[in-house]
Amino acid sequence: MKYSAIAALTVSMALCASAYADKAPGSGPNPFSDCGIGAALFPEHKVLAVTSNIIWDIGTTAVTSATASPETCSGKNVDAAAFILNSYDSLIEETARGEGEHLSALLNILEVTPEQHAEVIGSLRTEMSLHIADDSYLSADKREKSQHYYTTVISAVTSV
Amino acid sequence: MNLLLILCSVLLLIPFAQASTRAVSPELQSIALSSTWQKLLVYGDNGKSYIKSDNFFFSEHGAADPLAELLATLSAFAAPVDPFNPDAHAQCKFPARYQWLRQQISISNFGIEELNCPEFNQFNQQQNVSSISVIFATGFLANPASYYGHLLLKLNAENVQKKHSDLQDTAINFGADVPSDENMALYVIKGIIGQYDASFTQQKYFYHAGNYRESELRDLWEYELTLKQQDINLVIGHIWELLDADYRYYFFNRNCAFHMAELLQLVLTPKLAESKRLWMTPQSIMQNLSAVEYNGQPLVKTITYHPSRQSRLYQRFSFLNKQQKDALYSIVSKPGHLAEVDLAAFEITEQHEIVDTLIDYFQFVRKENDGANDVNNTYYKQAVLLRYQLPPGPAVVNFDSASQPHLGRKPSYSSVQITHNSAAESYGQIQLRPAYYDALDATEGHVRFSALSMGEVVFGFSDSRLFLKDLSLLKIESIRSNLTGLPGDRNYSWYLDVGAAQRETGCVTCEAIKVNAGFGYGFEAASELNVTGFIGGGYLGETLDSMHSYLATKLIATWYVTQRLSSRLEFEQRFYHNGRTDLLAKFNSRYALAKDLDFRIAVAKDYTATEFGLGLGWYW
Repeated sequence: MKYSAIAALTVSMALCASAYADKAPGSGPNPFSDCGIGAALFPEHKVLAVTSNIIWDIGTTAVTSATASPETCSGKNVDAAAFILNSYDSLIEETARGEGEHLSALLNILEVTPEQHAEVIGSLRTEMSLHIADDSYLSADKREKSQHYYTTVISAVTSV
Repeated sequence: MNLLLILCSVLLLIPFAQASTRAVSPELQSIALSSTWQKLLVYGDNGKSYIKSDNFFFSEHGAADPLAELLATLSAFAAPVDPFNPDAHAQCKFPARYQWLRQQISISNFGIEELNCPEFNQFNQQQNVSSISVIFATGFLANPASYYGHLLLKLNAENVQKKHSDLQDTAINFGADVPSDENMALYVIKGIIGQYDASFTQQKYFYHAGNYRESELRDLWEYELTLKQQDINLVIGHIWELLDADYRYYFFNRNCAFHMAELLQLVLTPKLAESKRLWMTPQSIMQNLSAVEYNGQPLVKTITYHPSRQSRLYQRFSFLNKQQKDALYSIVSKPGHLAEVDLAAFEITEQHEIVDTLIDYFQFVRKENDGANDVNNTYYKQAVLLRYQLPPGPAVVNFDSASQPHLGRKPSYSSVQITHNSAAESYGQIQLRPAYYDALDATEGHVRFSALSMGEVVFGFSDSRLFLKDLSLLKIESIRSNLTGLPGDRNYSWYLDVGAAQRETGCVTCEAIKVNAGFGYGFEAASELNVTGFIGGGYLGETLDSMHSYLATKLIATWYVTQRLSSRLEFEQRFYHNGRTDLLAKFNSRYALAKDLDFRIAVAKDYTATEFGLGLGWYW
């Protein structure tokens, strides 16, 4: 089958997920640096947004990259990283509000229980407010910002 | 029973190509002729499949011979499985066919044993679909492929104990396979004449939601369907089959709207898409969906509005009280002082509302890729920081819109008009607009104050002649209003009109090629009243092969007086290269007699004549 579209997102994720199913979020490598997800994912976005009615494979590309070395990636971490890259602005805004559909979705992807949401968001909110206030924030590109958010949320999740 | 056993043995021994020539049981013949089997093979009304991939069929005649394909499918289902690659087996590649045939016949009589299909099972389990939604993305005038909106399917996973978000659901898209560097003009032409393959693809819904709502600023409408779990499973299995299949893409009538409708048609009896129509719009599918009953109840269970960033900004702004708006204007007028903004005079929830509107505003006006070179990126960052400095709290706005796409009128329009011309004889007019809207009837699912039509033609006729009054191969007026009054609220507008027209109002024998384009700014002068000014230019042939160019200024005022009554006043001054100037004035008014019926008044005046017309139009 033309599995470049299907299998990349299903089979490869299954391979990754099964290999690391018993690992907690935050353990293992960083999808941004080790799975090539940022480089593969983000540069495509704006270009493809212009031609929305055609086939675009944001995420599939990234996951295909991850498939090349499945031992370096955890399924939910790759999911979370892809989600953050695609939803970064919504996430930092909702983090400021302390709630929102994107924030909830991210915590669900990372398998944070509803009871832990408040604590994770509180920690994430404190750290992100400092990060955004930093002078270097504006010069960072979307991938770098997303990677920082990813690292921060993983840290918040593992510390609860 | 014995007959079936014999048939099964024969099937396993005889090549597929000969299958249709054999005598087969009435039961199998009946199945082959059934509508569901032919829907599974994606047959059109002409008895041929829309699928052009050979690997979608087991019989070499399967694209046009449902019986041959049935026999070949049964044979393939009974074939030995490769223990190292069960997913390559026919049952695993075509789970919907297998699922449905198993309900129609005793498959064991054909030597078929049910297999475990790891890939499909995983696909199924990951989706864990409990319902299916149709997503309508409103039209987008910056991309020709999206003028008429777009359709997606969303596979809604069961939400157990709130452990799942809609954004994590899988979306199914249909579109042409276009090279990323394709020239836009070539893209349009090739799309129209069928030079692209097309296919279904799956992607997480959040990619689409982000793209449409945040990048392209398009509202999404979600229509959740009341399908039984058995039918949902059949559709999911069929999607799995189709993800590997190539179609031929035709922009007008074999597009996302048509093939999404065909996919859902698998489990529906009433027709969602009429295959003989020369054009098919996503909105017409939404209208048909909303009119369909399923198991004695409406097919559409719930309708949910997902506003774009732009719509959220406008709605947040509209909910602010005067003091909040004053504070907002004050902040925006001195954005360099954002870091020192003091909103302590407001309640916390009011502060949240102001800052959330600020965030949406700067997000809306900034050019993210310009980084520090666009000062609005700095302001956006500071607005977000303001929110971090406030206590956390929700954004309490119930976003809503009355513009549900299924409520709109039908997409095609015809009218007849009686016209009195001061310089020529009175005559009748017949208008045909295949799709989609003009400024006076832009309602649900359309871009307000704007116009979009392709292939619109107006003929005039009298006792003595029949003539072409106007032809617009493509006509777009993309008009935006600055609804907030805030600086930078996108109010740039543009128009393009290509075709042929009478050169002068007073002439019925002066057909000339026309090309008009312009760029301008619009604003909402009062509630429901848009005023837009343009600077543009164009060509108007003195004869069909001799063109004269001109520059033009244009002023248009469009007023939605009531839900039924709308009017438009237009002045255009043309400055021809030979020094001649023409002033054209037009007034049009429309009254909706019913959802699909209207009455119009049209007045036009130039230096040659004044014309007055009364018309009656209907949508279909």
